[in-house]
Amino acid sequence: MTFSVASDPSCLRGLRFVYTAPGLDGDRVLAQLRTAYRGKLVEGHEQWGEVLVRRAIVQFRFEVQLGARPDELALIHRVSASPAQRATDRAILELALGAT
Amino acid sequence: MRTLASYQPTPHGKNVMGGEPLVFHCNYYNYFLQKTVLLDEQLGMEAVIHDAARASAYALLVAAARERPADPRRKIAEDTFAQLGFGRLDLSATSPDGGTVHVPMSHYGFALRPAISGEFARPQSYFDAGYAAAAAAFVHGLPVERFAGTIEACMALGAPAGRIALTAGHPAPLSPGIGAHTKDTPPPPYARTSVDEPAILAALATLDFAGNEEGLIPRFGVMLTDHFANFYNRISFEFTRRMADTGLLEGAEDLLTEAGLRCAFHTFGGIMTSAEWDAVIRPQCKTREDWVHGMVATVNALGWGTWRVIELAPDRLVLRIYDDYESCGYLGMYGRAERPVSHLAAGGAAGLMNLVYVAGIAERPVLDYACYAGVFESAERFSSQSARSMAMGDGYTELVVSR
Repeated sequence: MTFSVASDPSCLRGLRFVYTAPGLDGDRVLAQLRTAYRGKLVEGHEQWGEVLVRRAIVQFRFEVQLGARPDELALIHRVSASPAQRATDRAILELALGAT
Repeated sequence: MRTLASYQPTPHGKNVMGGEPLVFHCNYYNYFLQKTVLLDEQLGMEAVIHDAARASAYALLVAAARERPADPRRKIAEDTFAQLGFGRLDLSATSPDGGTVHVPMSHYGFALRPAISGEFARPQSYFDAGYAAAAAAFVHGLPVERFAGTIEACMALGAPAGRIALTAGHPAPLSPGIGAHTKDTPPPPYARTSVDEPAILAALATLDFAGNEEGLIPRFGVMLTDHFANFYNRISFEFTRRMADTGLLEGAEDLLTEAGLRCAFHTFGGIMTSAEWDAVIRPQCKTREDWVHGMVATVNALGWGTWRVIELAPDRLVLRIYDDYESCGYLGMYGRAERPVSHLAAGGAAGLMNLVYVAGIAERPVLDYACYAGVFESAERFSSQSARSMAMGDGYTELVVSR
């Protein structure tokens, strides 16, 4: 799957990245992340009006939000995550997106 | 599970915890307001920031302990810091004689950095120092003035974590708590709009606005704090008072209004371009005016008081605010005002009109400095005039926003 990524230019600069992937399959992305983070991924959801948003968190590293907008997911790094961890986490997510 | 004072139901859009009114603001406003009040080093505002933080934090924590007498005080103090989005605090190295407070994560230490293009030349965590002093006094059953916090390390200057040394404290003004409130009843939300404010408030009430495991609140595309209204009020009003002593009262008021404009640009702009907005509010927006109504509905979830649109056209907004937090706090701290004090609200209201009618926020512009400068230096820009002020004795605050 092809995707594009945009980084936050403002208040969450360096922390928030929005990925757009036509035909994004959230279930498959989450399955890939579960495999990659073996038991560390905490999952939940939030109802934003009519929209169900799925959240997947590895504590002190990142949060992924799926479903807020069609064909889009947001990756929000935790501040504590080192630059190396952030690069690794983005690479894992992009691998998951590419594999779906 | 965090150990906290409960949130208390309060009329007129106020969010109260442990007797302290709380208001949501983002990292950019926190940066710009602090930068504003620290502009003139001769004013001694670092101590005011410290003391304002200490006063509100101590009042809330003491109320929390009254509500939860069996719970460990240290946990209450550390959990409250994290819950409200200030970061993480470690009080394990304190005693009744002082000690050190470690701050492994700090909103003021870290989250203000994305708001600037360079590096800070001075610490930013004066709030943390005040909170740490209050928390240590609270944990050890001592009076509020027992400790002062001195910043030894600050993330804003590149330190991996914050560190606050506890030294001998000094008396300072106490928090006025919830302050004064109007006896007037707000009218219902504006009728001629497709925006359903009660539905928006109900939807927003289901979102999680608690600090995450780092004690931070990344939400709506910004880094929020659920902050002490009396902290903002004290540092703003003391700034204007001290500036007035040097003959610069109106300049100080203009600077605080400018902070409100910046708040609107980043907080409101961030909200109105967020996925949360698209999911909850944007589906109700049929016209540009609805964007104003949608944002006003959202403001009414922020603890700022009850905002009511009285009149709205593409070139004019008349806004009434019942229990705006600036007026409530001013009346509680100083009594009736001689001049309007709702500078944040004035800047916020003008900024909202600028975003909708000048920046074209519905088309999702990039909210960078070029956009800010283009909007707020435009001949088409809006500004606010105060028509009524609750702090001056009126039943509500009224702002007229026009080009």
